[in-house]
Amino acid sequence: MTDAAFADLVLHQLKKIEVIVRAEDQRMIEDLLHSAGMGGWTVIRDVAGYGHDGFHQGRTIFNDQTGLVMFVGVAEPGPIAEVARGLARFFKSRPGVTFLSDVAVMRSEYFAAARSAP
Amino acid sequence: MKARTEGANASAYAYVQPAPGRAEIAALVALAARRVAPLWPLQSAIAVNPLSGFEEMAFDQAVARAAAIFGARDSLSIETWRNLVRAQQIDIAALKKVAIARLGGLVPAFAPIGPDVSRLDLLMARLMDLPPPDQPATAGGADPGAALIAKWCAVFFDQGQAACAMPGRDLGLYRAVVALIGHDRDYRRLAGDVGQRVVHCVPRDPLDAIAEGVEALKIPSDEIEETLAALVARLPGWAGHIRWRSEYAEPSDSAGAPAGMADLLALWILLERAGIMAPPPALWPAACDPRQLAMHFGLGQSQCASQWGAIEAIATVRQSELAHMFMVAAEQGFRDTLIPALTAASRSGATQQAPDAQLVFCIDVRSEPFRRALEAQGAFETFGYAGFFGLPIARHRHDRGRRQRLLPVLLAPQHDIAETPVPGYDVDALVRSEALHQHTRGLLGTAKHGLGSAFATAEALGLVAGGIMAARTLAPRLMQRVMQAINPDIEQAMAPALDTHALHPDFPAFTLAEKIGYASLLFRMTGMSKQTARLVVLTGHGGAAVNNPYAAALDCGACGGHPGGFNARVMAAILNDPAVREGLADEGLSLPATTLFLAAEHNTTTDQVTVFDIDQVPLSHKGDLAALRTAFDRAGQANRTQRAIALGRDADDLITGSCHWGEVRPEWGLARNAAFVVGPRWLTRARDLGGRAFLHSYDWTTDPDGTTLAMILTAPMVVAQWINCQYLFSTIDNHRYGSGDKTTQNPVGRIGVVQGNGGDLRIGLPRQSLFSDDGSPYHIPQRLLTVVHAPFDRVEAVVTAHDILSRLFGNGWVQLVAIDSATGDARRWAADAECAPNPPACQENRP
Amino acid sequence: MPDAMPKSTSARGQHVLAAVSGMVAVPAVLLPWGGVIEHSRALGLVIGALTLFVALIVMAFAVRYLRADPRGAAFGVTLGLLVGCVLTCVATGSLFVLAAAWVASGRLLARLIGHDTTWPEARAAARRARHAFAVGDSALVAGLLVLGLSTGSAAISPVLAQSATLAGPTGAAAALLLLIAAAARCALPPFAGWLASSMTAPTPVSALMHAGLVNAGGFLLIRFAPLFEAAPLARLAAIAAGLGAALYGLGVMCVRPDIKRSLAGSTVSQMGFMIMSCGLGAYGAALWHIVAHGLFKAWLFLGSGSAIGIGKTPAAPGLTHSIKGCAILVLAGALVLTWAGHMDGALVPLLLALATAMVTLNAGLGTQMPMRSRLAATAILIVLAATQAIGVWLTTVAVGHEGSMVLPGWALDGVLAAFLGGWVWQAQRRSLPRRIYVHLLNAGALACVGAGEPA
Repeated sequence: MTDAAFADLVLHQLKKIEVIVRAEDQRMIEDLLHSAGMGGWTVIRDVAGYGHDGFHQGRTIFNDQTGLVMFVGVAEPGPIAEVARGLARFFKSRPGVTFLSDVAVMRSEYFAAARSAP
Repeated sequence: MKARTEGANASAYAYVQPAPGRAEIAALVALAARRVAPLWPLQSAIAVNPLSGFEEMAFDQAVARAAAIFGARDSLSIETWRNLVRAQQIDIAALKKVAIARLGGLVPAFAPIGPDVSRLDLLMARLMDLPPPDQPATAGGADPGAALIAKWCAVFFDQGQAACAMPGRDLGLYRAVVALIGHDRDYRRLAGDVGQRVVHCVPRDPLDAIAEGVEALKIPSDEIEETLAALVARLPGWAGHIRWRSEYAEPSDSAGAPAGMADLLALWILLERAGIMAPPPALWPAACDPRQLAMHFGLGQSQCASQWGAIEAIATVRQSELAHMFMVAAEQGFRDTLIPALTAASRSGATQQAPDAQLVFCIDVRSEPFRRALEAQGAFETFGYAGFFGLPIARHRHDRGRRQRLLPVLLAPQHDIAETPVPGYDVDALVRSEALHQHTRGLLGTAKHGLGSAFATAEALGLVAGGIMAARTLAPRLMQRVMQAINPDIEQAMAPALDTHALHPDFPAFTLAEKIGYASLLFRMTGMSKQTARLVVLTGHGGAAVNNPYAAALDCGACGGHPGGFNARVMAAILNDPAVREGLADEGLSLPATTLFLAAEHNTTTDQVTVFDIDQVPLSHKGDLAALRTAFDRAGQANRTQRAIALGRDADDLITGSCHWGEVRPEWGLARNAAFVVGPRWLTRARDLGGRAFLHSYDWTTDPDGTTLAMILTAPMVVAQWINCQYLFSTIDNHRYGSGDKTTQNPVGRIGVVQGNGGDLRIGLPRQSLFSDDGSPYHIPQRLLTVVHAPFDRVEAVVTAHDILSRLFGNGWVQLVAIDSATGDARRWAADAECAPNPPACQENRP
Repeated sequence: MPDAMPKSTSARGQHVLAAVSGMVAVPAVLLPWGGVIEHSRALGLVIGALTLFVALIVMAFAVRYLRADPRGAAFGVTLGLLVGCVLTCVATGSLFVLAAAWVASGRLLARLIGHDTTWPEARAAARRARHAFAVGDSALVAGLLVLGLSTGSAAISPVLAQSATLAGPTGAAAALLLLIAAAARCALPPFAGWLASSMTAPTPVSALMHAGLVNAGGFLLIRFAPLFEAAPLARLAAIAAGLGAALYGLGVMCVRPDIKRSLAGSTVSQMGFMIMSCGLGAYGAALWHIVAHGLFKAWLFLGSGSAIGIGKTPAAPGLTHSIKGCAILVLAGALVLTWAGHMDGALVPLLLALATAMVTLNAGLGTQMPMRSRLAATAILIVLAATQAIGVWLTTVAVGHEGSMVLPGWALDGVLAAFLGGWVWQAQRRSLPRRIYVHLLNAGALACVGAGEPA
């Protein structure tokens, strides 16, 4: 983010994690994010896509537990690494994908951890 | 970048941080938690598959594995199965067919072993005649560790039974127990001084405690998940309750007492560290002695020698496999009578007749006999639809703080609905009388527990108690009438308020678009045509039982274990709304202006039907309603008489039982459920399904892209499968997967029951709901048979597009038969186990 | 459809018949020995009627409730014999028959606790009950032997007539032995465990047990009242044991999260109160307590299946203040009575009842409810209070004798203050000390039994 266009903005370098899992596993991922000390995240329900198991539709209206959900979380590298370690375990037996990336944010205090992981 | 980062993390972790981190432990705990099914409080009992954590496996493997983990049986005992065959509940011919298939077909099955003895004879002898070794080879020991944790769970999760709550509940389960367990003499006896030392030094955070514990116990990294899962499985009841609390409960239910699966596991780890060991599991015998089998047929030395391999092969068939063969025989026998009847009906097609009234019932198996009885009373057309009528709502009763979730547990409520007085009722008087009741109850509760008042309370109320006791025992119906006279009918007096959201009074509970959406969904899902009759009655259902912890298990599962009348009233109000009618007309569903929608509730215990808001029925429809109510009464009488036979009582006694406080089996509930039929009513109308089938109306011609079928199969059918599995497993091992004898149950924490003095919170159904008085199973354990009336290719497309369906059908948890709408042919979906690596395909159903 | 109608109504009818014949047979066989009571006949009549009434209800309840019980026949027979034993106990005039029926009823009760013979926990609970009864029964037999030998009579009436002359250690020893027997049957600590762990019995058995069987201890004390009148030491012991049990049982009741063991705690507490009343000499009040509590507890037990539904019943508002005020008022009244020299043991239960009536009346009147509801509530309270007053008066007449003072007035005030003070403390919702909480929670825990279930 050294572009001149951003020169007048105060940016903070953080990490972003995106997780896509089955809707029935949503709760497990929430537990994991909590335990890693993430202060907050975004959930997108009814994610559609194409992958190993063919096409995934968005959910049908009678069952919240079918289909896929996506989590997006941004935090300091520490909690994100912690989440990633947890996910490594998780993906040994449950399907899903995760992406890690560098991001810049303007309000770093907004992404502070809920509690510091020991 | 992703790969590099993950790799770097992994290697760094392996080198500097040998103990798993918090998130990793959290992931392991979350995975281990899946070992048990969530357990709803009995107040809104929901049927779940106790083996839901094993659905990724093929059915028989899952059953065997779960049996080992939970210390349960994997089937009914062979002797019980034999008795079912002898009582002609299972066709012996079907059993023979299964045995022939097991031996590899007709030729090998009839290959002779000796004079007049074939391999089939040997196998049938093992199935039907040889004395089975059914006692456990080694009995499982008592589990004092589990008893200890169960005791603490019971006080921690108490929802208002104990007057004096556990101290420190706000700290969370683990910390609260750690603070007290040092004083517990049971713990001291089991763990001794080591236990005291461990309690003082363990971390106070559950995740940290588990992390430290797995290290201290030297559990290898790749065994942690399985170790934790095995610990979860030692108390399936309380673990299931924790799952309910964290995944499905209202936040208010767990306020002030936080607990997750990590708390429970941290307690288990504490016990392990203190040296409290798990008992040895019970071992069940596997097979029989080949010599015994040979002797049974009087086979001599020579035959034995030449045919030893064949004899041994049959003698070593495992007991569990034999039991499985009985179950398959029950399933096949049922399928072979049902499918031909449906294919025949499919070929003859529909007969059209303009009905006097149309009624939409819940898919529940108990609707089927009542619908049949009602159809016999006149020109009534009936439909089957999920009993919440597609409305994801929660009800805020005017007199309770806690909202009722009136929808399947697969969904979260979208609309919070308050209640409003019905004109013509003296609501003030109702509210007053309710307040007086609440007040009296509160006062009595407090007085009973007060050190100064407990004794005088007992003395003052003794005679009153004696009178009530005598009345409830000897004249329960009179007592009920008196109570009804004193307590006005609050259900009729309060109606759902659609125009005000219960939590945000400035907004309506539904927008017009939402109302139209739910209204048109009813037509889309059931295939009901727009040429509606003068009366359309949405009929929910509920059971009637008093003093019965399992009363809610008789209510509508689609309404979250509540009676379905409220949903029916909301739906009727929506459909009578002129604006909604206009909106429907814009979608091409212009209903006749003469059509009136009404709400009713079918009492499945007494077979009486309550129609709501009768005073609001316009004069023009009074006659139609009167005729319908007469038909309800007659149908109820007829169905009650039929059901009374199955219950071994007389019809009138069913009404007495519904209000008798000593009744342990007010009705059979969903026992004997076996099939889920998706198709128009004319497909099943000619056949008596004996209350064994869920019926979901469906018209494939109105569903070109299969969306509706997908919705039916991924939601109502999934719920039916949970119910089916709950009944199945509660029957095959009533102590592990069921809740045992009702008469020694002890309600705990206002949420569930334990047996006798304590122990694990019980899961599943009680013995009286499944077994006849003589101890033989009334519910035949068999897997759900789903029948879909639609073109083959559409069924296949829907199944393959949904993970959950390919899992259930492919792993043999549910059997699927499609009846082709064009040809009337039936095809069965082959389980993965049956047709090797090819993609799942339809195959011909052999007659 | 299954054609099976396995256990027909007539089969169930046979169980009832068996039970009834047991009820009749035991007294018919045992009572001719030594005849029936001559005086204090009303006591036997009252307790006999209570037992029969509860047994009738329980039997009618069980016909439906135990419909699917494979051991239903055994249940009917045992229940009948048990009730027969109780009837014999209260009606006999012979020391020997009393002992025999008493011991037999204990054995039968233990058998009902272990009703499900395939269930290890039930067997352990039955064993514990048998052990507790063995101690109590030995004490009873020893006590009756002492009485019989020292008076030279095997009939109760002459023994009671002479008991006033049984001076010193003999009388005291006999009375103390009978007190031990009563404490074991009433499940006062240290015998409370058998009752607290008896939930392996089917619900109707528990109802009968808590309504009819545990009362036997109270009956014994009232029956042998003349003996106790002559043995102040035993009466002091009864007061102490009763007071302790009343406090302990109530604590157990308050901490248990399950309905049945909570009710068991309550029974221990109520029995303690009743034994204490006997010790104080309030025999009439004790007998009324036996009757009323028996009905009350049977009702609660049979209705235990209703204890499902999340949500604590909200405490009536302002109750804490009203409890404090009433407690102080009643205690002040007691002090005035003491000062005037009118304080009496029989007044302790009455003053507690008065405090209860005042608190409930206050709570009933002091709410936001409309006048009509308040009037109705008041009327109900007055009727209840009147019933109780009449009941106590009737039983006092029935017992025919009131006890003498055994405690000085200030000590009675102390007993009263213990209840009222504890009540105020409770109303302030103070939490129990941890050690005591855990101890109360563990009341009646069966060692060596895990989370077992019927096999």
